[in-house]
Amino acid sequence: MNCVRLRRRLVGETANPGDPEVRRHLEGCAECRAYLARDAAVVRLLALKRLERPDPMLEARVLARIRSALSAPSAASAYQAPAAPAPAMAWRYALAAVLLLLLGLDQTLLRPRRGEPGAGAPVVAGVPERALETPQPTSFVVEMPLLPMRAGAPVLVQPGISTTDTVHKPQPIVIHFEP
Amino acid sequence: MSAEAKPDRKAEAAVDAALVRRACRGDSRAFDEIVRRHHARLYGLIYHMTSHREDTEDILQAVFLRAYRSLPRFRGKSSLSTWLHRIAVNTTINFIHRRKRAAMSLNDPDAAIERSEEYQELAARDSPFRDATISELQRKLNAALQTLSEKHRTVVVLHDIQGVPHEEIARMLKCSVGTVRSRLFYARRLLQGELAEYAP
Ligand SMILES: [Zn+2]
Repeated sequence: MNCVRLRRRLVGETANPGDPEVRRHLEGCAECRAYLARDAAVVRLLALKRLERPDPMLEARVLARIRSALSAPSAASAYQAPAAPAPAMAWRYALAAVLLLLLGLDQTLLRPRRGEPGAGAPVVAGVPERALETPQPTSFVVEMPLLPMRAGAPVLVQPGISTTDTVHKPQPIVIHFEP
Repeated sequence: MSAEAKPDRKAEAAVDAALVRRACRGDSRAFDEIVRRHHARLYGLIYHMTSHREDTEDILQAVFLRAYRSLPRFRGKSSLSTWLHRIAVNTTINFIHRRKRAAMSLNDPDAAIERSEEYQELAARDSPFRDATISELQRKLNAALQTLSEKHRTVVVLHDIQGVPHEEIARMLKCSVGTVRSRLFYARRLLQGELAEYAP
């Protein structure tokens, strides 16, 4: 195994420092040993960044900012259908459009008659997921229920930050050599 | 990752999925809970990418608003955490690109760290830390991170600072695990050069 390949594999954690082939290389290669020592020092330095924590009022501030932004009148119009269908879906839409044309379906046939359910503006409320899966003309309006911002609602403030994620701490590569 | 961590993750994902369903139905408390559960990790990611506290809070707000608006499109193919991290990475990189026109200002380092038990332990053990003040180290570290391209910095922050495994980073960034490992290797090699006085 050459030096670059070995370093890549050790840094990328695809090689085990205890592997006999790796050990043999390192025993005979001062450059790789020095490289890995520097890499370990970088990892330890980066670990210092973990000690920087947000202040305990962050959660309250973030919640307050988000609630205020969502309660602004512009928040309703800010919810938009995607401007263009995803590339994977685009050809299906195109195919559907061609089929519709071939079938000679006139737009008037699609339009609900007066008094029938569905007449009026194309508003999809409460089922945004379906609406988003349907090809949307650019002027299509999708209404989404806004989070109710009740006056006097309990302010959910929890001092301190907790995280539920499991943290895998990268460990510096440590290799011991017998004298 | 330990074997017993897996059921925890599954349980967490189930809680998140239930919160998403409730939030999509307009339950504001469910969205609050999503914010509460995920803001600290996202804050860490954004802060380590920007080294700027005020910018971090602005970006964090933008991330949650974007997530709120896109929530109906969340299909649950990845975990909510992965999905939120993906939004956070994209929003942060966009912000950094826009901000590049103006000078990026790095925040003063956090002096409270020097008094922390973890730092005291590190400083007692490692000579590079013994010989430098924490402010110096942090300033150098932040500056060194800023020399990396965003895609390299993202991988370093996620893996080496936040402790996210390669596979999970690949899901967050929608790239291969090989790409993650390769970016990490390259970024750490660059950091060796930037931090040569502490990584001799
Ligand atoms: Zn070598």
